[in-house]
Amino acid sequence: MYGNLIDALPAVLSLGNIFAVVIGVIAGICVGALPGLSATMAISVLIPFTFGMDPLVALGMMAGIYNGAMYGGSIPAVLLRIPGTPAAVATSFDGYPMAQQGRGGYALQVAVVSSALGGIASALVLMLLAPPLAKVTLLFGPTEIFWVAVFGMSAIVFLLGGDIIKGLISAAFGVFVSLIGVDTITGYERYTFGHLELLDGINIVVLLVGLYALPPAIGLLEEVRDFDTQNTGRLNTTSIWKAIPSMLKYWKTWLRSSVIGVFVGILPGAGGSMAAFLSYNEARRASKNPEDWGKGEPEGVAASETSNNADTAAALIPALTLGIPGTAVAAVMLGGLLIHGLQPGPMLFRDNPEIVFGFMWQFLFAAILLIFLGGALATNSFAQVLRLPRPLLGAIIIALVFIGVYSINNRMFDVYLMLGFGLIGYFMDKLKFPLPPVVLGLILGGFAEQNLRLALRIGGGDWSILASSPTAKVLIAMVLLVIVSPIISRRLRARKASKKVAA
Amino acid sequence: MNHESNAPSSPRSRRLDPDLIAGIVIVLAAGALLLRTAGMPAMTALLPVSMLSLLVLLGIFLIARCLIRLKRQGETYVPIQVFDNARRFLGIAASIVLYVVGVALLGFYTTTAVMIPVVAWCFGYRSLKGLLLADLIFTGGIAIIFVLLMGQELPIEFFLR
Amino acid sequence: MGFKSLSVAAALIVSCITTTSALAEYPEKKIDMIVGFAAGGGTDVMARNIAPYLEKYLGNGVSVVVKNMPGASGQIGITAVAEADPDGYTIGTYNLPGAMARTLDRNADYDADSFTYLANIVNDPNVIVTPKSSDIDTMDKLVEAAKARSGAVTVAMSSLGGDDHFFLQKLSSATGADYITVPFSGSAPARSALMGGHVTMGIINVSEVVNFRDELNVLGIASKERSNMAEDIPTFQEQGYDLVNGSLRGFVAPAGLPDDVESKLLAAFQQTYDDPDFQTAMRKSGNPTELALGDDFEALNAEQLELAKQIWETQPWK
Repeated sequence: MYGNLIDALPAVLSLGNIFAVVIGVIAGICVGALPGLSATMAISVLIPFTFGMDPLVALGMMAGIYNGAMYGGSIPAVLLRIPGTPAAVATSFDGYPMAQQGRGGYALQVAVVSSALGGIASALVLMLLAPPLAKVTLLFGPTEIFWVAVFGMSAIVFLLGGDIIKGLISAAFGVFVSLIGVDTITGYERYTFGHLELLDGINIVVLLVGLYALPPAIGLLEEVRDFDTQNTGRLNTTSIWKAIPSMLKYWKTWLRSSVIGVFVGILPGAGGSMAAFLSYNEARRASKNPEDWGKGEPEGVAASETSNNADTAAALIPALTLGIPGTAVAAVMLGGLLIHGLQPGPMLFRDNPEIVFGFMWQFLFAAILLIFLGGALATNSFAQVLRLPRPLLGAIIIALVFIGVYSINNRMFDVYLMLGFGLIGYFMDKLKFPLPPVVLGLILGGFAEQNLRLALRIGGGDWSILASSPTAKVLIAMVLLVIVSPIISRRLRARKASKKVAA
Repeated sequence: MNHESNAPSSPRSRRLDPDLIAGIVIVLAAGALLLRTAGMPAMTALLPVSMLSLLVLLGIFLIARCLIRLKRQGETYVPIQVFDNARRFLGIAASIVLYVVGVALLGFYTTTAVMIPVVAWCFGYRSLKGLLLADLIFTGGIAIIFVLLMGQELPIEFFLR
Repeated sequence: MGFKSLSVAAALIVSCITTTSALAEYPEKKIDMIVGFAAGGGTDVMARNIAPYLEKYLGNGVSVVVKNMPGASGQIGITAVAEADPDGYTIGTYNLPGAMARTLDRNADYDADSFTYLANIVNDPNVIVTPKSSDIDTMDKLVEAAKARSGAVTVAMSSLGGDDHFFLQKLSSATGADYITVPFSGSAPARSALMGGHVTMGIINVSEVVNFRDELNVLGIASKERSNMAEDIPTFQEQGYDLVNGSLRGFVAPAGLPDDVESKLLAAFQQTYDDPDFQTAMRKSGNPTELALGDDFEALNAEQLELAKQIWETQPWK
């Protein structure tokens, strides 16, 4: 199969195909960077347009958009605390504080380097390990996926923020929103109030845009004082190549986050935001100074950005081999393959090797291009855009948000829904309810529930099925470790402290 | 709730605590939604009921915490201030709603071309040249990408229907 | 020469007079083709493949524009078609048995009389599959196992109240055994659960297994004749089980279409179906074709509705 990889290379290197990837990366960075627009929306708009195109050109654009958008999402996350894509929520935790301290430029450089590295790692895994990893995916039935979701939820402990009651309210709200729509197991409609548009549940982009992009747009218009160039608009101008050496100390985080990103990617239905949350949490737990996190720790940006790009190509492993997309974006991309008559499955690798392996190369090139295109050029020009007069920026964001939400399903209903979430998000923000638990609850709540209930059906209602497979047992041990280890380490620390006092 | 009736005696607490309102809204909304779970099959209802009950419980905690704070700190207690300028917020909210309704009725490009300069003007950006330029670049750019390149439809203009 | 052009002109005038009374030469503006699913799904690919051929055979330089209105497993799109003006400028994709099943299990704003039935193009028969690791690799072994442990055989399917579910009901009454349904959301997750051996058996469609023949046991196909996509899969009828069922995809227009518009559309669909290039494109995109035009399609729809009603009354799925 590695012979196929080499054979596919010449076609990828043709001028048209390279151009497609370049255009894709640039478009992806723009889409990711513009609040309200997301990779899911961009690719779903692109798919019908590619119908008559050469498949590699179309796929190259999509690979570029995916990689570009995953990085692009960090630009407004850092500069405005508006995550440009769902996966950039965790980037804003430390990226925005860094920008407030006048280190926004460095934060973006860390983000672009980490994104590119994550993307490269992911593309290499896709190229070299797709068939064996597809077998790993098959080990994960509903039972195992349920435990992964539970593991992901353990990240919520950190996300709750200072006020536990408010944090829990946010989380419960997120889980509740994830339950809206048809319950696929009984067919019962939950909280749809007779609206067909709600049957499939609420799209994460609608919620995210409502909670994260609309309130800041309101905030931009609310500011009574004159628009001065505040700290967040000022970027340092050292070249990215000079900045890289100072980042090398994050190699452990890069490695860990790449592994997490790839792992989450090959699991069906989890997605980039879960990868980013998990890897942020793990990096923080491994850090020597966890108390600095959330206050402008560059390593936090590195963790989140590495893993949300490490998720991209990996998410295509189950998509190409099994037809089950690893992320929402991969799901849309699968449509992009189908529209060219490329049916996922082992036969795809046999019948169309030049396209499948060419597509993998394009992922690799897109990730490498990210450093060049996403470096000083894109970053600085976007920083300029975000320095537009605030009322103007606010008005533009409102229009962008409309386009982004309307284009997902071509309907006004989603826009009205987003306005509702915007109102809720505005008050949550003002009343200091943390927003990340809502996102995590929405991603994992219904996901965990559905898989738990599928598992129970398979087990004939017997709860012991949840611990029946070896994979499930390993996952249970991991969940317990995550929950128990902080308690133990706190005990140990307390004992040490008391010993010191005694001594 | 009956604690609230004691409150107006101090001038400070005449301004309602937003946390208290949030708590009451959460309890009422979650409670109302809880009533709708009645007809659901047991397994379907399990998670919604547990989440909504949790919300009711947490809402009650939130209310209780506000009341305790109010009692303890009395006059010195300063609740979170929600609006810097409530009129401005209402203005923004109204213009967003108006924009969305306008798009639905008049079409995307017409409404956007009008909204951007008007909103930016109203909320403090007064350079006519800048406004027109930004409007042209933005609306024109979107039109080029969506109409010419992608053939993607946004809500259609009223004069083209 | 002069006579010829004169006669052409005369013919044109006559034809103008006769047609303007109903409608000026249909089609005279773009035709919207509403697809109830997102771009890139099976139904969407069918629609996009057919659109250029319809343009060709309808003539007049008409353009057929695909409009995706995804949601509620196609119901949003179908409702929009039912509520559109019956002028021939809005047609839409139509999926059976889903479209009719929704009139039973949900409040639908349409029924069987809301449409002019144009053409059913795709018939994707159901297949029964088991994991490669499973020792149940023939229909007889499956029936034996199902009878021995009635109510313990788990069946992966792509949704509730769809063609796979209806097939299971037929299977259940044909074999006299009960099964546990495990409804995944979509056929790909169901298929993966099968490949991973997490369920006993699964019911999916033939188009979804052709790329996975080495990874799954396929016990039979629920069509009258063997499929040209997988000639080696025996039909259930060959094996002595009278099971015929599948997922149907076609096109409808709102009810009350003018007769001349309807006949034009029907002719265009027939010509498209007979076009070998179109057939190649459909096979390449994994769509097994089988045409049911006009009244045949309407009869097919009535048959599916009857089946759905029967199952809904005896074994409601929710």
